[in-house]
Amino acid sequence: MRDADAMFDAVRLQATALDVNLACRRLRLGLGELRDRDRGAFIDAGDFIDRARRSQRMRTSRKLSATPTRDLLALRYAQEAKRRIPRAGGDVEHVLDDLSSALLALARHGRLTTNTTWTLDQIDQFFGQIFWLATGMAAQPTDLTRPRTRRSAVIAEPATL
Amino acid sequence: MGALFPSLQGYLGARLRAIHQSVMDFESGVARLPGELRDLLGSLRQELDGVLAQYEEQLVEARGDEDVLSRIDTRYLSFATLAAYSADLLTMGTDPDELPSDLHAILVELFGPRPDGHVIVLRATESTTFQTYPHWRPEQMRPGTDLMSRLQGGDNRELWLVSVFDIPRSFRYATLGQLLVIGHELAHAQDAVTNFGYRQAITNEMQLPAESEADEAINALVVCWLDEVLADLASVRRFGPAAVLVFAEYARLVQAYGYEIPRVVWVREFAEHPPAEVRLHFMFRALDALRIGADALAEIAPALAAWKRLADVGSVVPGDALPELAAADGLVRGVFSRIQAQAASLVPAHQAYTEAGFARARVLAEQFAEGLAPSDRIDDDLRSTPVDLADLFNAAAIVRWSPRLLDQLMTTMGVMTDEALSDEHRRARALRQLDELLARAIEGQRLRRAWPKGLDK
Repeated sequence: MRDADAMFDAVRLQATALDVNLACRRLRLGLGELRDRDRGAFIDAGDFIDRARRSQRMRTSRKLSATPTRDLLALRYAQEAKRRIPRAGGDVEHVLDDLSSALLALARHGRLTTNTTWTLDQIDQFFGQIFWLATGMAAQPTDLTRPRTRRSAVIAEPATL
Repeated sequence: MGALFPSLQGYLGARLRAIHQSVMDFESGVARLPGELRDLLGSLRQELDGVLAQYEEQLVEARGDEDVLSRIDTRYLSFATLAAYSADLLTMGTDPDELPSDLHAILVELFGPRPDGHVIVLRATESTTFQTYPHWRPEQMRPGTDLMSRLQGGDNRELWLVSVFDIPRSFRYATLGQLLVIGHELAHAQDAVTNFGYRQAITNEMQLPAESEADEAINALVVCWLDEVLADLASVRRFGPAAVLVFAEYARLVQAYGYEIPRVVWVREFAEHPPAEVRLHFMFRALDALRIGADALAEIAPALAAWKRLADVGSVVPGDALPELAAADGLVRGVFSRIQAQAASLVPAHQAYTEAGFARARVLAEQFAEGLAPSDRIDDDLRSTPVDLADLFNAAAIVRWSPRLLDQLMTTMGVMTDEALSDEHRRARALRQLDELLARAIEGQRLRRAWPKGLDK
């Protein structure tokens, strides 16, 4: 049995990515304090990055996670989005850890802390890419996204963060 | 596009209202709707009501930013598609005649304690095989707002709370074979509800081979195969010899090892399940662990011995198996003990099948062989004895695979003297009759259990 419903995952991720974009916009334009929905979006985004981290750990530790299908999907999304934004260097695990910390700081404090290399614009841009990747998956015919259907969520090319 | 064109908002509103209406039509027209499914559909309607307000709120927030506005429109169009899919999933096939009215209650009972909000959805589908999968609740279609709990890590966002069981429409016509599959499918659902906690304990003990190009294929196979073997072992633990006998008949039809099979067929056929002989081999090992004595099993010993030969084929990986399959097979064999331990955890001792249960089944089998559904004999000695589903399954399995009892059933039915019938016809009629008796017994047993105490005295 698969642990992922790709369509549901995609639509939720789409919602999360959009909410992150709106929250980043709110911060950038100084429209006021973050609302619960904004903080929730950063937490959801952090959950998504944690899944990608689990997937990366699977590769290095050679141990399966409990939800490998979903985790692998998250890593693929992250890799696909990352290679399209102008930020070079860093190994995969480090980049993901850094992003996870940045998202947690935004959720908790409503601002980025100094120990992250991610800027608000970069996070906004990253989740903008994630949004359209998730949209591509969500737009597929329902039968192709059912839990038991084997299909890649992202047409992957060899890519590294 | 989008917010610049008010018609898109109009379209979204109309679409969401149409989905809402379809849910309401179903709710008002259905004959048998479990309360928990009704609540779930209510949640879906609430989401449909709430999402339009959120859509309009976000449009206002992003006014003037066309890039963000286009994303907002896109996101809610996707939402409408998902909502329609969820509505179909929860309503189509959930109330057809092909589903025994008793089945939902049986599943609920076997499932045992469940987390709040967990819902079992049964659907009759055109598929010829069973499928079980977890589905998000409607409330989870949107990111949640329970901020404080989540900041403290108190909210398990990964939890799947709807277990969908797709049941073939042919269900009614093969009670023994079909019902037993429930033991397997149930284990899948139980693992999903724990966010794959049973699976996790197994994978924790597993070391994948060094990275290679086939890596991803092996990982994908391993995780599916673990789930399937876990479900098989849980089914044997819950239903005893009957689970092995019924699966063996299926395994004979789909056996693969020892045959020349094209690579493409291998990959397609075994993407989700290990080869049937391997599964049967594991199931025999699980049956051994139940320690039901040879004397107790005497009536079905020849059948078990015959199927054991097929299981032995699956005891080793054949030399010509594809490398990915051989690797996955080896990995799963390596953690068999842990899978068995997890099956024991999933089906705790008080639910595991025992020799005492099989002794009850032997008594019930004699009644089946006389052409009686045990529950029809309200004056029998068993009326005060707890007879559970597994006893009835095993009783029917004993008759099915015991030549003596099957002959007795055919004699009772009068088919032995009908010279127009071939031996195959006679057997087929007897097995059909056996399935009907079993179905009646299951229903009758549950009905009787619901009677007030003392009614049968």
